Amino acid sequence: MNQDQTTAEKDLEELREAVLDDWLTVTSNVTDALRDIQQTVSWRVTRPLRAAKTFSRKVDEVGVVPAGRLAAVEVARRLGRR
Amino acid sequence: MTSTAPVTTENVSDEIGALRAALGTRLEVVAPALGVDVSGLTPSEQLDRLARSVHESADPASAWLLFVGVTATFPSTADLAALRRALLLATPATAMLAVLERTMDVQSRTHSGLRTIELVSDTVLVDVDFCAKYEHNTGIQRVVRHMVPEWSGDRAEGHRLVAWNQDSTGYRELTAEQVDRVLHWNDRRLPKKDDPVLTDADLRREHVLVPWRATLLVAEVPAFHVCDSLTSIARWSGTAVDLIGYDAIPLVSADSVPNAESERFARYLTIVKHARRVYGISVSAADEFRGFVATLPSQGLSGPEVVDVTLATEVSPVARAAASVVTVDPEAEPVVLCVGSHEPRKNQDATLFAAELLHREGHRFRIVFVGGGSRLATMHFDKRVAKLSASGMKVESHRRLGDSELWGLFGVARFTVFVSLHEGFGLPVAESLALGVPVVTSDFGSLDEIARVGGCLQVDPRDDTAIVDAMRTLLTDDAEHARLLAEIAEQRPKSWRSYADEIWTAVTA
Repeated sequence: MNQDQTTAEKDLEELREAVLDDWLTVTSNVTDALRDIQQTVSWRVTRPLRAAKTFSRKVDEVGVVPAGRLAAVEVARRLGRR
Repeated sequence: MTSTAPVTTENVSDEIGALRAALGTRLEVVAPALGVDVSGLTPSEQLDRLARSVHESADPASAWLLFVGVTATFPSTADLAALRRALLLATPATAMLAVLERTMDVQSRTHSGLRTIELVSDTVLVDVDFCAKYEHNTGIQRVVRHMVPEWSGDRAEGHRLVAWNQDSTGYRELTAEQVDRVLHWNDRRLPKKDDPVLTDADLRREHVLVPWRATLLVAEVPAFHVCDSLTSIARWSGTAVDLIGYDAIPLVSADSVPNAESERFARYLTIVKHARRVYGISVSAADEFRGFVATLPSQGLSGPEVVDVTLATEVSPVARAAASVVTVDPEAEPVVLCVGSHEPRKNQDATLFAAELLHREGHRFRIVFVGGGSRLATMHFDKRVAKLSASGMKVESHRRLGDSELWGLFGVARFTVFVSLHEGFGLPVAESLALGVPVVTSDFGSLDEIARVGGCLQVDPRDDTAIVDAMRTLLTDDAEHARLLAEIAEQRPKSWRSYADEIWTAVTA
């Protein structure tokens, strides 16, 4: 292996590392960005609407009674955090 | 909820380091399965080498596994198709970029970055998601909770129970409480309590069980939102997916179920298309799935093999004991029992009509309906029951009744009525016969399969007069009643052990 090849391999490895770092940063930041969105006023005021939609979807999936229990658990959890 | 700690350059760097290390650990798990040596390599080198290998092989199962290794989530069919196409368009040198590009969306949406994974290849995975998570025990759950404990002895090492994780992106091991819910329903070892709701931080650190060229038995009808991931497993992962085929009622009797049920079942059929085998719980149920499979050549698919594995007909010792401790008062009115969830196809309206007519004819009896149902389905029925009860007829409707009370009613019943218009099996008929109580039931489908062995008067459930006549016969004709009891006495119910054995033998064949 000559010097040029070694340098090229090293450059390529650095490039791979940089790309993976970017990917990890971006995917992690999007999660953070979502967290920021969830702190906004508009997100908070539309929370009941989203909760109703979520409950409706859950009813479709598991039925009214289990969905009600899940909702009760979620409410208890949220209240418990305050 | 995510942590609200202040974000600094230092802790961001720590987090990226942790994510990188977790990714490297997951890739080390998938690499041997893909035949690639990644020992001593950095995560980016590992990923590059694995991406090149999958690019070269063009094997869909390898692409599925690499997706799982990178994201710790099971891909949807669309996500996997996108990854495979991106790899086909890539060169070996750009394969890693293709993988990162096509997994970025999923990785951004989920909190899976720190998860660990474990490949499961040498055991049967049994998906018992609903039974594990919910305190609900009607038809399908009763089958699962009877069958799976039968594998606890010498077959315990041969299978693993799994449930979907909270964000429905992968399988995980059951908690102790969930195992108790599945395996010890009649004999709980732990206090009943709801499952805790996990935080995002918990979700990020879950341990995911990954079926890899394994066998997966989906013992329930899965939830709507996991059907696509299960289809992807059945279609691409190299894991054989077997299903217990309960019935096709939500589609073929769509007029009798809520729209959402039909849509959910239609999604479920997508898994069926790519499954290896379906075990119909009756010949009738199996025929419904065979009918569906017969439509698949028009899509260029052959579909699964459909096998009849008829359900057990025995009841548990707990039920038998509860039914035997009650004493029948010879002076009291004979009890007619009608068990089943309340929905139009169960035909409770026809049974109530028949009872009212027999009451007006002057027959003395007490009729008891047991079974839950939506307010919409039960409202008019309950009003009618209240009105008849006020007029002096002995009629009751119980929406919530404990198991022991229910078995106790079987213990005092002269006969039961189950004239459903469409069933996958008909557990109330089997249970009635197993507890020595004659049945008035329908004369077709799975109910006919059960009734053929004796102990039943069969009627056309769409003929109200036939139902009235059969009920009158069993109220008034002691000789006919005794004949049915004698037929029941000759029966040897099929055990849950036999049913579980048959399923196990087929799944592991």
